[in-house]
Amino acid sequence: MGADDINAFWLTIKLASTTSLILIVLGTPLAWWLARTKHYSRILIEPIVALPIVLPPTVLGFYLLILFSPNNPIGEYWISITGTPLAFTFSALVIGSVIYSLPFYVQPLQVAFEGIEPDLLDAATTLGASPLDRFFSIAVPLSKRGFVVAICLAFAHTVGEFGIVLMIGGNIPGETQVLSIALFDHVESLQFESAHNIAGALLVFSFLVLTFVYSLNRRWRMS
Amino acid sequence: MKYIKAALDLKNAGFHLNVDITISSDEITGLYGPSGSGKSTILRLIAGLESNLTRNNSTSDHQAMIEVSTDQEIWSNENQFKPAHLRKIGYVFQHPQLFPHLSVLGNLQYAIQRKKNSTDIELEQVTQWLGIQNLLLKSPTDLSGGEKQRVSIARVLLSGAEALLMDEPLAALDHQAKHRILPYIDRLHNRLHFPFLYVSHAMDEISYLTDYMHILEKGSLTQSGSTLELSPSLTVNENDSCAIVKCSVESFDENYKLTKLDFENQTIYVAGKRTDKSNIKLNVPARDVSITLERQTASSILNILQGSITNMHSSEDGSSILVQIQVGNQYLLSRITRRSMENLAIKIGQSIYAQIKSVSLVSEYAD
Repeated sequence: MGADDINAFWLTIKLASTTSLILIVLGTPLAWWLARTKHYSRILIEPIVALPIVLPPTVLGFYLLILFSPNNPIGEYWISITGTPLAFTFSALVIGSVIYSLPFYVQPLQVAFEGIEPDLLDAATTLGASPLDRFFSIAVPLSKRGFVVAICLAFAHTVGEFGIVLMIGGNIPGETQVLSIALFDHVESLQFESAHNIAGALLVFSFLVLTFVYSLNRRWRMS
Repeated sequence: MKYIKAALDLKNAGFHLNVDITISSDEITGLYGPSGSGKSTILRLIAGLESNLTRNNSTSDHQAMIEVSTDQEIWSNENQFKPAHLRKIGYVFQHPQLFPHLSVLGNLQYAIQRKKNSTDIELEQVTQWLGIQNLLLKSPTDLSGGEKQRVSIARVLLSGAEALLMDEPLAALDHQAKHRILPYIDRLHNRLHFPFLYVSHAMDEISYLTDYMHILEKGSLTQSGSTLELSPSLTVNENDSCAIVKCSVESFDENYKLTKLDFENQTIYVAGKRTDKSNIKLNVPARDVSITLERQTASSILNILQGSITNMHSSEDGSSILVQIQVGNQYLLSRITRRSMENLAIKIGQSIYAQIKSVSLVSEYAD
């Protein structure tokens, strides 16, 4: 593995970790709300969250690229606070990844939250637990496996993304060149040995994550 | 807390709940009604669990007037809504709702950590009251249905509740488990003197626990009054209708091994020695009570009480009659055939003798 590949590896880990952390903070309340609400807006929010599953990543990447452009209020605001354009930066990758991996985090967690019997939360309420208290003392411990599955899937899915990274991140070593892009690069320049290393590693990694997630789900169903 | 008052008027998608109820701390109040009559909705509104119903957003097919208050504070009205977790009220659900990720002790501590007042009710005392001292280290999944429900009652008591709502807490239990828990619940009220509302569609539970009851049908209270007076009309089509009566222990006859009880200044004998508790409750099944016009002297039946007929209800198919007999200030029930009724030519107001088969007299209810 060359120095660029090592860089790409660490960048990928950094991107997937950052994305997962942000999803825990933003995706958890969203999953909780979706699991509990009877509000009509749910019928719009749910498909929006699920869109990245069916949308070609390039479509998402294209719109994000436009949004990040300095001609756009968001891109303009970013320049005014950081002094640099947003597109083709690590931050752009994080924003793209959070949106792209959102359904992979929110959906398993939402299912776990929906599995909690409402009477159990009502019981906690009548014992004096406030809404926030109920969430942390009942919902979170009872959804432990849901959290593990959600974090694993969000992490693995971020590692595996390609199209959206290409659109909004480009291919800058150390800044936006993640493993999937590095692989593409090697193939383009006919360096098949390096390509093999990365492809094999990603294949094994993805397989291990999914094996873990499925074994967790099976144990869950049995207990 | 001395009482809870609730005035509820709720129209929602074709269902109209209109109930005015006061739950006093003087006695356990019973609320009887078939499923779908709105019993749980009443409890949830009192406890504050239906927060989105309480906001007054009246439309043509949806309107709500919910007023709940206690002698100390207002819980819900047009302008105020006290969140459920701040109301000093305990709620026992039909299913015990123990937290599966905590042990029995963990479940009890959950309530203690969030205690709503500063009463000195102690873990040790409550676990003893409910007979769950030996279960503390177990996981809720290892308990029987009856044990789970006892733990959930203990948990509610430890939460600092000053009033209790019980929503069919025994409905999911078998007959035996049910009759083991009833005395625990009965004694709680004597110890705590809370406003206490017991909801059920099982008349034997209501008869056992309550002196005063309301009948709820399709969202309205159709009858309210003494449980003993209301129960015959409700159980007329049930096979196992019974009367619950209160007696006091007088003496024990060593020779015949019989305990002599005083029942409204008349005597009832029960087999075996009863402890010296001054008051016990007896379960007298209606099918074990027969009626004679004169006192039988040549009979193996030990317990013969004089009383007068206050009411008669015919079963749906007309084959049997449930007769309500007043003895002093209490009531017995007797199930006889319509043929016997016509043979004896008994009428309301008539003085008769009720014969009770001694063997089936006492269910093991006593303390």
